[in-house]
Amino acid sequence: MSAHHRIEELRALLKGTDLSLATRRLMDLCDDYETLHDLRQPAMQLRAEYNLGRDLGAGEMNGDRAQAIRTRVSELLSAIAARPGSANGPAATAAETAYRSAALTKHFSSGGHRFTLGPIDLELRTGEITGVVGENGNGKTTLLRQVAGMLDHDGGTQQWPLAPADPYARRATIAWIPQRSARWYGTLLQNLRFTAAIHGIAGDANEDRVQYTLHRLGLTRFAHLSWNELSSGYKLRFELARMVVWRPRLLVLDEPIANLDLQAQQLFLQDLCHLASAARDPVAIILSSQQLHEIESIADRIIFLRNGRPMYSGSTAAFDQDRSSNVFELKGAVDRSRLLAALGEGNALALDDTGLVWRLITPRAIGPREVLRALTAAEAEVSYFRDISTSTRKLFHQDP
Amino acid sequence: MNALRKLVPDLLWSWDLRLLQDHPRLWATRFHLHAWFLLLLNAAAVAVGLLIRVDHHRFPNPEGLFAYMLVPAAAYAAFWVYRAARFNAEKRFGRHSAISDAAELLILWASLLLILSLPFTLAFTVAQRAAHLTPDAQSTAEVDLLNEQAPWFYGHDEYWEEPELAEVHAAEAAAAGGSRTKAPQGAGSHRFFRSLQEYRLRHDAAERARTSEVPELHDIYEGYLSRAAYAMDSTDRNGYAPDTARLYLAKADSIERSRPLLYIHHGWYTPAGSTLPYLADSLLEQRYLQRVAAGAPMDTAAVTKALAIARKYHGGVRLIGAEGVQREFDRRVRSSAQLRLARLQLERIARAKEMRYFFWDEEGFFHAIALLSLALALLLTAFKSLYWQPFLIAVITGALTPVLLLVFALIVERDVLPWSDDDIMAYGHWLLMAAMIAQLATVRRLRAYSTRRAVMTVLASAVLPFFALFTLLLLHEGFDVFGRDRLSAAISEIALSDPDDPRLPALNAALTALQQRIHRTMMAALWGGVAFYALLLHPVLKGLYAHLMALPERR
Repeated sequence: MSAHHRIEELRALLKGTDLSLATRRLMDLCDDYETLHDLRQPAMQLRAEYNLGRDLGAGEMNGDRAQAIRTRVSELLSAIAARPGSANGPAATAAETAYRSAALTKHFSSGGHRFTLGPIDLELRTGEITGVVGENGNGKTTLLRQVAGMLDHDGGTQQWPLAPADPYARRATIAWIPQRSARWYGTLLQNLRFTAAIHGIAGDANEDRVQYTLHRLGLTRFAHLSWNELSSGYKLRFELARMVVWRPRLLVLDEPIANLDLQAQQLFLQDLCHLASAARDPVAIILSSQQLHEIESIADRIIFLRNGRPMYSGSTAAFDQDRSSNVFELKGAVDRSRLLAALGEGNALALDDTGLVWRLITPRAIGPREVLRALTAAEAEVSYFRDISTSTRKLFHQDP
Repeated sequence: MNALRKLVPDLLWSWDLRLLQDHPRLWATRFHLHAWFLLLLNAAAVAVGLLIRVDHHRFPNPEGLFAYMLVPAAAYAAFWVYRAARFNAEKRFGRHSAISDAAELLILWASLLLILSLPFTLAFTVAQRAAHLTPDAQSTAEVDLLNEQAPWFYGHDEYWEEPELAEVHAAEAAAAGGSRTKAPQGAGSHRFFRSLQEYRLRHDAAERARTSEVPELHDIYEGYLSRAAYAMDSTDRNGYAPDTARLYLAKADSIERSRPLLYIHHGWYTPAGSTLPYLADSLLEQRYLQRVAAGAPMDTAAVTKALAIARKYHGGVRLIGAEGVQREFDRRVRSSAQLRLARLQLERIARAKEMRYFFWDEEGFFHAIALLSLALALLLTAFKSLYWQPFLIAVITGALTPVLLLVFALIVERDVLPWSDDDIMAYGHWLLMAAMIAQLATVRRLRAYSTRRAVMTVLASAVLPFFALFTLLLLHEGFDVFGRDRLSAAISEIALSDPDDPRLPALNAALTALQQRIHRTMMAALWGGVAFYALLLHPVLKGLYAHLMALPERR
């Protein structure tokens, strides 16, 4: 996305209510393009003012303060747009392969139980997010640890083209956020400064990068808190901050949103999207999760693992495009016979009660519009409806 | 913790920030704050040392203070280790320049050594105050005066009557029961001799007395006095016999009248080991003899002064005056002035003057402290560089290996292997050390992380600084590489055939010189090995830790 498009995106955001996102994206914009670096400070100041205002009141800001910030963001955008070349500023850096594996396998054997992961062919490119999904114990963490260079493999090959060949130097360039992050000591601010410094970001650049990260991820008011004083959601945000502060090119996250509430999940995933698609140093991100819907909404690629084997590995958008049937989940105050009657003869290939929802399979020609129309016509009270035809979620329903 | 933060000046906090941002590894050692707090703590230790009561009568033992202060120092060390290990970049980002690795080890080592400044400071402060209670010149003069006047004060010794003496006094022994009697008496420090020649050869005479059945005159004299004392004891219904007491006193008088030579323990108050210029024993004896020979009367002013000096150092000394001293001396009873109570305090002050304390003048203690600190610093760097499991296993293995090797040696010595358990222990340890070090060469070739190899690497890092010394010790003890045993054997052989062989002095001097050279060589091997490790090998080891941690795990 070019600078021009980013400016337009920001202007559109200003018309909405999400001032938080607008201030964050403004910071991203100024950080992404070297020609705008002198505006990073004002952008950061606006974000700080937004954070301060939000901290004083609850939730999103309203009123004069919000309007003032909105006006200043708008002014800053105008200044950016007025800069020579900004309107057609450089587009995002071309995607690069950060990790590649071919026929990667790993065997485990314990107490007579054997488990084999793979063979897996995987390519992680900067600017892309890859989601790893599957039931528990199917090898998601094992795969992520291999990608992070933490686990040896038994077969196949793997490469990290953007990282040095030396295993130590390579490990230092891969950002790994485990499901349960290790306890850290000192304050959040100290840790960020330390992590940035240990990655060679020294002096004023260190302070600049740390402050930018704190403001960008909304951690400013937690900067002087310690591990015990942070909620699990903010601990995760801190882990993310600790990784992005040194601009890694490959970010591996194991079940990052498992313990987050809905709002925190949304915020976190939003940040991951922005991080991946940054014009400057875009990141290749791979994460595992059980929250299929959320992962599929941000992932460019999906790997579904069952018993260690990839049942699907490819573009999220391309999943099951050549299917012969559609699959829907629905729930409501309606019984099976009424549902079947509403759908009409031959339009329901299967209707199963999973215990929580009905799972409906229809021919490909019967899409969500037709199903909803039929349900409406039958005056069925539906409280939940989801088309999972192109979601790996339907793989969970298939027998192994 | 917030209260502690307030003790740190703003300037140091700004340094803290700069260190954090520019030199994170140095910052993580917390050396700057550590040094600041130790400065404060040392100032507090000086203040406590100045507040502690120190006077001529009493002051605490600096060695005791040092030992007590080791407890808070250890607590502080534990706290510091916790702080220094908290920010740890090593496990994932542990590869740095060799200079950085060496500097970090030296800083950690110095930090631990600095902690030990706390007990030193307190003990040193108190010791210095004690040392300056009395100026050196005055102290010497006081001790000399006490020594010179000591013969006027019979001592407080008690002695066990020897069976031989009981035989000589068979008639009297019937009254005393002939049993060993613990007899307090006033002449325990005085010995008579039959002649000047005997007096001059008193050491030889004393030696012969131990082998001869003939009692010495002074033994007989003391026997008379003890019996007189026993007979004068009015609290003993069975033994109380004034007439017998008078008889024994008369006998003692007859010895004193005919044998004026009296040997006393000269230099009683001279502090042992002190190098201050006190009057020598021989000079004290000479002056004493001159006085006895001349029949000079008591110097009442000097005796009064002696009493005052002794009283200054101990409250239990009684100021009985010169007349009282003369009276007790004439009656040949032990002095009630308790002059000797001052001796211990004089001794303690002299020790303080010359800092003759284990924590100050013991070379071995300094070595022990330096090596213990180095070992802790090494362990800390290993702990910071690796997972905690191999570190813990290495510590336990290191502690158990000597025990297991000892058990093995005791089982197989002589029977299975043709060596003694000492040899098996020594060579077994050396072989294990060599194996640990040799395996380091293969760590770089590992494809995946191995806990076993990590443990061996930690153990190798612990033994590396001392390997040269240990090897040299084995070569010295087992193979006599310095030729000390050969030279000793040659000297023994010559001495056996002819004790007066003219070559012996030169050979003994050569042996002494050789032993000194061996000591210097050993010290060079020890500290050279430590320095070689700290400056050159430690960065290599750190690189191996980093390599191990970068390798993927097998499971």
